[in-house]
Amino acid sequence: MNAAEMDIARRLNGMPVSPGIAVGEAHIIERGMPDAPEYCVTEAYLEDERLRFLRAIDQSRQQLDHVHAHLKESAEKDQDAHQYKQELVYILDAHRLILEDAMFQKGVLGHISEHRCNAEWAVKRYLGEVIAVFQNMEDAYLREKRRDIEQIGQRILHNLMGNRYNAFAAFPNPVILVAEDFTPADTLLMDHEAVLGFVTEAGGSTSHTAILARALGIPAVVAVPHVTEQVRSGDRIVLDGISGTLHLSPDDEEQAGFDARRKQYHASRAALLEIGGAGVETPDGRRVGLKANIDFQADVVRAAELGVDGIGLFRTENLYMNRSRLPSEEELVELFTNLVETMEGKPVTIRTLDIGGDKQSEIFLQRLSHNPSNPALGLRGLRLCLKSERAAFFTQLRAILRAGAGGDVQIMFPMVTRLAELKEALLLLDEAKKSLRLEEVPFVDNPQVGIMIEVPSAALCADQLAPYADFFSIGANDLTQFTLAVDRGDESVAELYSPVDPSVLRLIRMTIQAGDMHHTPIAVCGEMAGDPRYAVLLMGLGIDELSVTPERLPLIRKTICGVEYRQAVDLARTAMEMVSAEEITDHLDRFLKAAFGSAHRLY
Amino acid sequence: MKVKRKAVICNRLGMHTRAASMFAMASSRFESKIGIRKGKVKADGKSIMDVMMLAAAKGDTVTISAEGGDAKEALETLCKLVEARFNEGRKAP
Repeated sequence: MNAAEMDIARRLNGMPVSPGIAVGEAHIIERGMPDAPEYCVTEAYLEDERLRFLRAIDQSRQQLDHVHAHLKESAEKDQDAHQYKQELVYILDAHRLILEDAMFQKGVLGHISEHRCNAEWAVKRYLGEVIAVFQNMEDAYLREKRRDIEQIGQRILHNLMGNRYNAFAAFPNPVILVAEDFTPADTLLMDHEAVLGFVTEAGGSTSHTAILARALGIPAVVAVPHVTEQVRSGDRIVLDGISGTLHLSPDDEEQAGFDARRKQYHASRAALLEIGGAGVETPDGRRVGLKANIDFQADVVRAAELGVDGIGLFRTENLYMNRSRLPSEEELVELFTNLVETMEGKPVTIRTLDIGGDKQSEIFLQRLSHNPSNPALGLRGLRLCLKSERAAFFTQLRAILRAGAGGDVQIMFPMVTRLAELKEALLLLDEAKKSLRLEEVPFVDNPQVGIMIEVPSAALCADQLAPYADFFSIGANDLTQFTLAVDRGDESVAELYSPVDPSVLRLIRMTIQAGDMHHTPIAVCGEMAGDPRYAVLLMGLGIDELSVTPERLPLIRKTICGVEYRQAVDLARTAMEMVSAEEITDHLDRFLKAAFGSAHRLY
Repeated sequence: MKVKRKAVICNRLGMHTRAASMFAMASSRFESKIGIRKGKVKADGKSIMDVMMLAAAKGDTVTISAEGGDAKEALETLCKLVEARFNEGRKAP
């Protein structure tokens, strides 16, 4: 291996889902039962083993009591994660109950006597039998509950062996958590103040980990292949949530470099947040709408404070994930009304349910009649809503219409692939209005209704869709993935993924041309809009509006205000003549560097 | 006194961890011996592990039994809990 190859080996790439840089010790969250000594003991020591087991139970219970108290206290303080934490208090109660369960204790004690073995072995044997029962359960949801048994087993075993069991407890030092995937229970039973960042093998930008990390303002990188095999607990690692890279065993010099970068990130973030103020216009007078993409209610307040033209994308998937039942219409109305009121008259675009693909919900998953062989191309987004989840979709439509009585709401349908789908969705919307009218419930009669352009078929037929849509919003992530046939979570092809590939740009240009012809405004709401290089290019192509995550707002505002529109148009024209994503990226980099200096991309 | 009654698990997620824990906790408040049976498998209603391992999913019929001084009251309470879908989601909006 030469030096360059060594360097690559010490770096792992994934998908950045929450920005920031973390430098610290890795801590692996394990799956299954830990290794434990297994041996037989003589009759004389059996009583010792029984007592050891009962002491471990006692110790485990005290630990859970401690976390319980901590959680209850923090749930009251932290509104955003309140729902999760409430859910966790229930899980904790169940874990405590299992520890105290007479059948469980009798089972383990019985194994000690019967097999004359040490307590660890007895716990593993007994819980192994229990887990086997769970694994054979028919119901997928119940089968998953073996995780609860595993977590209890891990805790008892670690207590027996005198190890510090960190999975739920306070960490002695702040750590970067690494796991195959985090369940809500994994992430939320931890002391958040001691978590520097998250790294997972699984997941997408809307995974539980991603959402939680963003809510907590902690950097996270997901979809890092085999990371749990390559990192060990205690390793010093660097997590770069901006580029999506994980650096293993950085030397002192590198670490100092990252420390500096981290400080710079925080400083530039603080400086950008101070810019604020509404009105985004290029120096030569072209106005570009700047809106916020929102996952969490708390983000809305932040976006409103930062001054935006509205919410360009409110994702509703989170309302259906990590919970056991569908939200009721009243619940949705309350939430949407709250959004609309917080924005004080500015438009709020609510996207209807976009479940499926990489965003799964336990509720919908178990209602599917079959396992999709390729979820990205399966029953998802609007298709799912029109086919098997019409009732949930109808409820959403009614809730959005009702919230519209109190402010400016817009409705956006995701994953539209053909005109017939849009027409069918519009018919359902009419039905929803009719039902509300009959019930004499106040609602907005004529909201703007638009669609996501995120599938090549929609971009190619944008001119046919435009007469039926009040606006287009280009979802660049999916559009890129489908156009290039690249899953960016797959490391073997991830480098082929680029939203500025000539093919993707042509589809974007087609959409803009179709929109212009029918006077349909066009927004871009994917991650692409939040990258200053791409933002300038999109502006030059004629996009009317950019919608970005709140963190990106100040940076994109600064970018738009700092580039002349005619320069952007020139830039786009040259870019459209280029033949590769690399060439175009270089071109954009050079432009931005000339306009703002090299520090601009750092954020 | 010994009483028993059939009940259908109607909450969406079945006897998952939380539901099982609520059932076991509620059972433990009574003196009576509590049993819950699904088909041929019988579980001790006061043991969360046993109840979880019953793997009662949505739509399954279970027979709840109570034996002891407060059997009638116990049965009433437990059937109500099952029928009320274990208050699924009520406390966690």
